[in-house]
Amino acid sequence: MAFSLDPNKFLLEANEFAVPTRSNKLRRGQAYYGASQQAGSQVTPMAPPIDTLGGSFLGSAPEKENEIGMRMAGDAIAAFVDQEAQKELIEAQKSAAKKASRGGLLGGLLSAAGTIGGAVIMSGCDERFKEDIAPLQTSEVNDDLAQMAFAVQEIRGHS
Amino acid sequence: MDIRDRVAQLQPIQFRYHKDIDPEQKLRAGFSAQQVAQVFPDAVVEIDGYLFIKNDVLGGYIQAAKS
Repeated sequence: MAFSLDPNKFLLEANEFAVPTRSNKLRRGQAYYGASQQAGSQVTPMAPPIDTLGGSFLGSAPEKENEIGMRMAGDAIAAFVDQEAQKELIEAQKSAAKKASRGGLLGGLLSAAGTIGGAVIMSGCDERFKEDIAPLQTSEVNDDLAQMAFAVQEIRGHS
Repeated sequence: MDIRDRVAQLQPIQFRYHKDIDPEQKLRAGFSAQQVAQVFPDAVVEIDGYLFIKNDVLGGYIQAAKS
């Protein structure tokens, strides 16, 4: 259906297409006018105002909800990965410990048990692995454990 | 007892691993896991009867004591 170019007919026809919304509060058969228009003047079709509730420079409310959801999902995935790494470590430790108890391959225990992805996260410090134990004076190896030991020695020296 | 006092209870040692663990038997610095367990039980884990020090946990305590 095409609108008539006659202003009065156009108005009547436009009334039929005015859509009541919460913001314009139109009732059926009531014309929708712009702020500068008077009844009887030519109707300029106006789209209902876009709902901007929650909108801001940083994004709309749904976008923020999505962002928060994505962040929560990321946290959950990170926690899951941590759990899996812990399980992997425990299995590696058990496997290496069994090897050690079977064949005395304690070197495997130290190399396999304490690392995941190349990072040393545990140390085989059980006294049963060691000999020549004495209060710390020097070390030929400068690993994480040695650095911790010297740091504690320094703390003890100051306390 | 604050964290610094607790860390000060740790007894750093030097030691060599048994030859089947470290053929070069280098002199190393560290702790006895049994002694660490008395001060920071959560910094040690027992697996199949052997004690291991959790470097990240113990390191966290030492770092806190230093700062």
